[in-house]
Amino acid sequence: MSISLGTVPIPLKDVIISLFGGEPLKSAWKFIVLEYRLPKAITAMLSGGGLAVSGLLMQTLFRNPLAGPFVLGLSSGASLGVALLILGTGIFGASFGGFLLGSWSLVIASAFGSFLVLLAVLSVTFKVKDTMTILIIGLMFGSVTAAVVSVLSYFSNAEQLQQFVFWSFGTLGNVSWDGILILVSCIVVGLLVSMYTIKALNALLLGENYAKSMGINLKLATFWIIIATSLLAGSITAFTGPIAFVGLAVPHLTRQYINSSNHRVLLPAVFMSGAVLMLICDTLAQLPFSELTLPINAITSLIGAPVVIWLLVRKRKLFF
Amino acid sequence: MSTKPLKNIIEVKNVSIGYNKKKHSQIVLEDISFSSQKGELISIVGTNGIGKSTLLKTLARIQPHLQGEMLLKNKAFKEYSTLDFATQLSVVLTESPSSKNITVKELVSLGRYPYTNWIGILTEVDEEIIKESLLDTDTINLAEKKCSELSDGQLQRVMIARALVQNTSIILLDEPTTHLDIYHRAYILKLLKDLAIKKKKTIIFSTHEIDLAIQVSHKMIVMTKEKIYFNKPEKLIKSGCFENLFPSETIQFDHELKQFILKK
Repeated sequence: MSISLGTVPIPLKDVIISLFGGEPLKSAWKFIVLEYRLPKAITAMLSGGGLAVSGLLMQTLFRNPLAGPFVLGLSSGASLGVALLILGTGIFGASFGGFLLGSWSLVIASAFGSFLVLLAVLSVTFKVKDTMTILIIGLMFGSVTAAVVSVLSYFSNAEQLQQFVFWSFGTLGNVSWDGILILVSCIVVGLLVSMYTIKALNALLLGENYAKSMGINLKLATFWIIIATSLLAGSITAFTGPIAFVGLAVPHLTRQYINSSNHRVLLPAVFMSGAVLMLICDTLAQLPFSELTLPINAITSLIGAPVVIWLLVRKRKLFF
Repeated sequence: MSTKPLKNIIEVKNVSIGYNKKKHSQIVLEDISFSSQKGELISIVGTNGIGKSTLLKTLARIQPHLQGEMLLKNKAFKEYSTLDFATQLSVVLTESPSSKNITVKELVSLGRYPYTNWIGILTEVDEEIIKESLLDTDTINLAEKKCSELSDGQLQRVMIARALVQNTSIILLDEPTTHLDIYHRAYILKLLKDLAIKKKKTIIFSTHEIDLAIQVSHKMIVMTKEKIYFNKPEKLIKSGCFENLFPSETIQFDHELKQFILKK
């Protein structure tokens, strides 16, 4: 479905033929499917699942239903990196701006940005014990980077500003097969690390003191959980731009139909739900039967927010 | 005698408790000494803010002890790794579980964590121990319920079941009877005594129920600002330490009734 819709609608039958190596009615369709639509669908599933899992990790680590992958300031770090690249080149001279602005440099800049913020947060993690404090510090880092981005925007010209705004819309379509390879490896490692922390995550459901009393090495577990989150959210944000909401909402949605708090069950369920939800959002972003494609960042919130509000009103309370 | 004399499970000698601050440490209470053997129920009583919770947290290694010596089975507390310590000592704290969505069975199963593999798979032995603890605490009919659906008394029993499942020789409980009505207070304390005797556990708990604690405990730790008393309840009554516990113009300890009465 997601693959068949787009600026050039391709009949579902021809999509399937192309996917299995056959020749569809028009040969251009095969190119579009294999080189554009398929990578996009895969990116959608990977990023949806990965963001959702990192949301789950953060909610359990901080024992706060409002936590998401971006509370650690990861997305603002990425924004800062990209802003420095796009907007900074205008201010600090455009001499080498032109060749820097390829799609790869964007990826590197945002990955570098989130990595820097992460390092800052991690160094704080080792000094501060209380997870609530880490949460607030993460938010503060976010504010600072957002402020720097604002200052940069103020001093840059309209064209650069537009380019930055487009990046911040989020896009699933810019990832090539090479990119997907990198994305997949980051996500696989991220998921493996999360699996390793499953026991600690379950123990944390009782609180930090209880987790410790059950033999969990809390500092080490916190470290690995944060590493997993940043690997997942950081790599995804680097390739797709900031995608709001999925990380926050999907864990809650999943808890509605999975009657278990055990992360051994929750983790794969949340990943699947995130992947499916993102694919649906991507399909809708194509605006079926029209030639427009809406920014994915807007769609996830447009669809997700009403769902969560509906859940809250119905259940009155969001447990985690 | 072929066997060695019964050793103390836990030995606390001249310990100071308190908080470590940046440069200096703030001592809450000094010179605490007591020891405990297998199968003993020990209660800690004292006024609000005297340091009952701090003492329990120090024993649970949630807080570091500032001075003195603490031995668990003749080995210093700090020599245990986090994991080994978890197989020796379990806790029931005043904080309720962060997650309210978790079911009773899941919560109790968490107690097996020091023994399960890296991903926490429960073996048949684990399942058997969990079932036994649910039966012992009369919570087996709650197994599939969520924690948000439990009453305070039920939740307390579930938390005790989780500590039991951890299969430790020592269980610490911080004010297990708060928020409970008189029946449930008595029920919990009786349960603790049963567990201490039948399961040969050393159970140390803090409480404000001095009257009930006198009736149920094997030994008591009475904390006052001047001195820490540690003895059997009867001897403590004779020594007159309960008289000094509270200002005497409002309530008074009655030696005959073994309880506090309002002054007229």
